[in-house]
Amino acid sequence: MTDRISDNTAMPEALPPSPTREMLWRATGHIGFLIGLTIFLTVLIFAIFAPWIAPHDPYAQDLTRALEPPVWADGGSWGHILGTDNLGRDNFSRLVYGARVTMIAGVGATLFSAVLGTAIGVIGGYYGGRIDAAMMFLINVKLAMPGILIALSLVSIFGGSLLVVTLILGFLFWDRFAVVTRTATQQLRNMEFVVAAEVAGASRFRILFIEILPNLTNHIIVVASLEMALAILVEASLSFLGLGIQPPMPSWGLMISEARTLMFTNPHLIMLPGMAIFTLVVGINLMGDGLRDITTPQGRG
Amino acid sequence: MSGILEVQELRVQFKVGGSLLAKPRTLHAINGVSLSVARGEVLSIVGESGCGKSTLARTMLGIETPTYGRVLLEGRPIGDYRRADLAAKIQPIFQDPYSSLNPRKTVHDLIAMPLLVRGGMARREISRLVTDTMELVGLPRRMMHSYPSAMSGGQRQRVAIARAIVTRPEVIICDEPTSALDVSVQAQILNLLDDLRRQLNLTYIFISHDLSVVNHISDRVAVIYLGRIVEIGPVEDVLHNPRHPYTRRLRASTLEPERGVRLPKPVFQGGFPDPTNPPAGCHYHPRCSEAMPVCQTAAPGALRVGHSTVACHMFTGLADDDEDLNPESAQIAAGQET
Repeated sequence: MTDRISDNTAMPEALPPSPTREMLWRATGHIGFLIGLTIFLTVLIFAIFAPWIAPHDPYAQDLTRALEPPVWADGGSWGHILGTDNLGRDNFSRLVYGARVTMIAGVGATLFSAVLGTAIGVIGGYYGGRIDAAMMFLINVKLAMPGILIALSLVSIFGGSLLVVTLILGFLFWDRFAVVTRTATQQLRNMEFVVAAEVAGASRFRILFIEILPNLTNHIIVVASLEMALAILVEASLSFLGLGIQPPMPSWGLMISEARTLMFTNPHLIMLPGMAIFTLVVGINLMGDGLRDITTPQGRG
Repeated sequence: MSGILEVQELRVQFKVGGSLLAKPRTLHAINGVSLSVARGEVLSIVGESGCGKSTLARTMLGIETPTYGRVLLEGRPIGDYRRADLAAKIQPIFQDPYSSLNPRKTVHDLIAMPLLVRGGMARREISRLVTDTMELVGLPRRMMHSYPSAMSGGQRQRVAIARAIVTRPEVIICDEPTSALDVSVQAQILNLLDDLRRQLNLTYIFISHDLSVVNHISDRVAVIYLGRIVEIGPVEDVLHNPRHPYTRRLRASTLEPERGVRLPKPVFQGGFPDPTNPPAGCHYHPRCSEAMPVCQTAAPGALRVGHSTVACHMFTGLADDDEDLNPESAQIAAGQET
């Protein structure tokens, strides 16, 4: 019973915050989200400013300085903080440049699949009937396909450039966007504000993009953060199997793959990129979970 | 004399439950409704849930297409209007101000929506109209940039009303505009609607199941049962001197806020009939205490009784044929069995 008789007259000047501001307020109190966001932003900064952060050229080989240990181990030096690999390349620089590959593949694939999946979901959810059945069929076909195997075979056909890997990952992860946006659109479609827009004579374009889509952004962001973690893992797996990013480009998955013969003599070569993947994926998942808590009003309690 | 809005012989049917194996059944939502609304009048439409009142509203707005019959606005079928031109003349106010306002838009953008859709107006002109309209509905100007989530139910409904009148329409279709609100706010919104009607010379079609609200605001009342009008007439006659057995029962089931008055006995026997398989004859006969053998076979025609028009066999022979009593009163076209 928040209505008062005088609800149109006296009201304090301070208006309640807008939904966006309220969400920001909730975000600052969510520790998991803040940790995840920090990790994600750190890796993002590494990726963007790689040439300025990396102390060495990630491709420069120096066989005289191969397999140097990291700085904290015996024989390590500040010249190569995290040591060098079997070709004498600086591990830290390769990790920093690897962040670039990881982020391009992860963010690019997620953007691609978000656009594709949202289009399919919104069209199916809004139009219903036969169009929805067709979209649902597409989603089911996608769900029935063994994703990684398809990705492997496609990469082996088209070759493993960064662009191809990103596109293939994009085609691999759109289904969850489609499922989530389809259900949400079905609910929104019956809301009276959509009917009001229809009565006013709004075009389909206007209804879909101005009335419905802004209400889906929260759902899309949450799904995107979770799918991005998955895309990064799959990129690493593909590169590890030799079907993703091709040497000498630095990719975290590839670095693990290259180091696996040296696993028992130089374990840090595998552990460093492994830790990088692990930390980033955990961070993105924390961020996604946090976003879900922040954007759903039920999480207010 | 023809009204601003006329509904002629309207039938709206839906196909429901169709699948690969089952044949779809036909749901008769509106089963032969005719009525006429005069300019400046408030016509209420009352009835139980599922009787077709909302379908009637949606058809008048042009969202549902009639299976048969037509709706005329200022003498022209609404199907002949361009969508945006129709929207400029006839606008809805919805029941639930929590669902009728896009949570992602500011008050300004919500109210401006019909103008933006119509196009051809300068931004400044739109803003001026929005400010004027906000003043008309009693919304303070500083709420222009707030979001619906920051507003009370009453304020939200004011925004919805502002959106409906921003194009300065002729007819407003109110689909239970107060039933989602607190009682104290209901009165404010009703008074606001009443003021606006006088200031802007509006015509209301007021859909409700709350008879006290209907009594307060309307000039005439139409009672609908299963897609047919059973009684239509001036509010004093229909609500205070009901003739049709269904209207009487509806009246008896309202709660009176007086001391010593107990809860009314449940007056309706049996449930609401299945609209995909309506009873033969008079749709109301299975629940009617006055049912006669003829009710099971023949649908009653429209009979003029006093100032009202009633569709009931009880009045056959009793009806006076004095056409001059209430010339504005609508004719009821009794639906034929389909």
